[in-house]
Amino acid sequence: MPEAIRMRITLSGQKATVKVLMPHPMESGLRIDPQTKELVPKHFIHHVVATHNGRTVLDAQWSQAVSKNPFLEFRLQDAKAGDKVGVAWEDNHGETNSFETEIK
Amino acid sequence: MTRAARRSFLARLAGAICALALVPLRAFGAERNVEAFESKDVAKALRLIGAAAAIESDDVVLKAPDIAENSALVHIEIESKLPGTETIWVLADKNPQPLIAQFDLLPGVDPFVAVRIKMADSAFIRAVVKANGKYWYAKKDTKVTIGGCAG
Amino acid sequence: MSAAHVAACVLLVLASVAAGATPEEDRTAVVRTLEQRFPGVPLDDYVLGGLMRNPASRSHYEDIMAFPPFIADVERGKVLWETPFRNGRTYAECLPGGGRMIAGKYPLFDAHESRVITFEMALNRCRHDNGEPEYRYDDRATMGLLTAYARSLSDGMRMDIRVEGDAARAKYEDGRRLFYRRIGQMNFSCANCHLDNAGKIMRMETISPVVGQPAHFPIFRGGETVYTLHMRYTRCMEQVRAQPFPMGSEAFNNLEYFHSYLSNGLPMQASVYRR
Repeated sequence: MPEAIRMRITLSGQKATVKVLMPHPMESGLRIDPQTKELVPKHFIHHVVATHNGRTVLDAQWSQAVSKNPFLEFRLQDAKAGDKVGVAWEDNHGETNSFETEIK
Repeated sequence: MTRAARRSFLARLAGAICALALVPLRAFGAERNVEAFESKDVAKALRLIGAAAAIESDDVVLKAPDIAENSALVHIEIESKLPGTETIWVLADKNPQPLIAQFDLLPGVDPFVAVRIKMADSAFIRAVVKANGKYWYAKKDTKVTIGGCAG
Repeated sequence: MSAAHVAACVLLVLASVAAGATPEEDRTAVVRTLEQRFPGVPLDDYVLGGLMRNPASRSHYEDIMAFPPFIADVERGKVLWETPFRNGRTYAECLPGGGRMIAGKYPLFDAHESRVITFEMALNRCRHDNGEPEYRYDDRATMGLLTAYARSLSDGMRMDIRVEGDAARAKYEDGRRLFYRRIGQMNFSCANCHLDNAGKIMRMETISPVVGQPAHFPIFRGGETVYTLHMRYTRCMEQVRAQPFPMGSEAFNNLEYFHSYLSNGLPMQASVYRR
């Protein structure tokens, strides 16, 4: 079970700034394990979807060169307190994770 | 990912979010451009995303550090001032596979994203934008350093 | 050089060491040296270390700190902090003020035990007093993360280290001697880099000033690996090719006592990003 996605939302007028932190190793496939001296296989989030009240607003494809524990920020229009903001990801191993919260 | 596998992933995501919120997630998104992501050459990656003829524009605002003090954690922000912005791509010219991210923007979100990337070497970071069917870009020369005494 | 000249020099050196400035005079002199080198930099900014005079690096640091990649690690530290011991008691019950706004008082001199107690020792004492095994000072997953969260409960507190009485003063002087002592194959002292050469570029990096350092530990180097102050001392000693003292040793505790005193008055912020 992957570690929970964290989200911080700040509402300013009708604009919501959404900052997301997705704990994930994001292994590039180029790193050598200091213990085994072998290459650590690629393991990375390759697809991320963000939703606003259930509607997709951002659909992202990523490579292994997004940093470990990926950060994503986007800005929602026409947002208000009580709106639902969701993020979901899938990695190249087929693991998925999602999180949804309300704007306060 | 095949089209069917992709639909199945989005269906699962929708399921995961529905479980939390009881609202439908409308599946959307372009097919992953596998060839572009696996391309080892920036010119080829640009061609494969359709941006071979992209024009440099001040309306694409790329914020990235002059010096990346930690090449594994480079915070960048891209904002497009071009009307009809549909997609933002991020590339680092000297990465083994230069294409790092593609963001498809849908109605309801600003033409802006911030993300953190890994850089293999000092290089141009490129932000490519597709707006009203045309391609534009901004680039930033970012130097990568090594070290360890700034505690 | 005549014998009289040598004797005079020896006397001068002895006078400057033994006759002894007070800790407050030491601190003021160090701060003055740095302020003359970095005119216009507010003292509070010294907690930013090498970033303090580089607006671009500072801006990037602030972007990272807006949602740091190590947030899940600090939250693991919070779980360690909040999980009661087997007897049902907690760290918050051991420490004054429930553990809030107290880290700036550490290290402190315990007259009863006649030794310096660091904040991490206070956490371990709490474990000991409640029948729990103490954490190792070199263990990132336990002490590293526990203190990463526990110290953050003092964010914003101003450093307030006290050196009162001869016994406390002796420990402070012990730390001070280590700070100025050249060690290792590279023959560097702490002071050579972080006082004499603070602000200069070494290995493409700005050397941080001694003042401000203890106020921002632990750090997460590379945005992922927690370093307590003692882990950082160890790394410094390795870098000058010296045999490091053990983490949690009296040598490091006394060094931390002196080192922390120099940052008195500066605002604390634990668990910050360093490259």
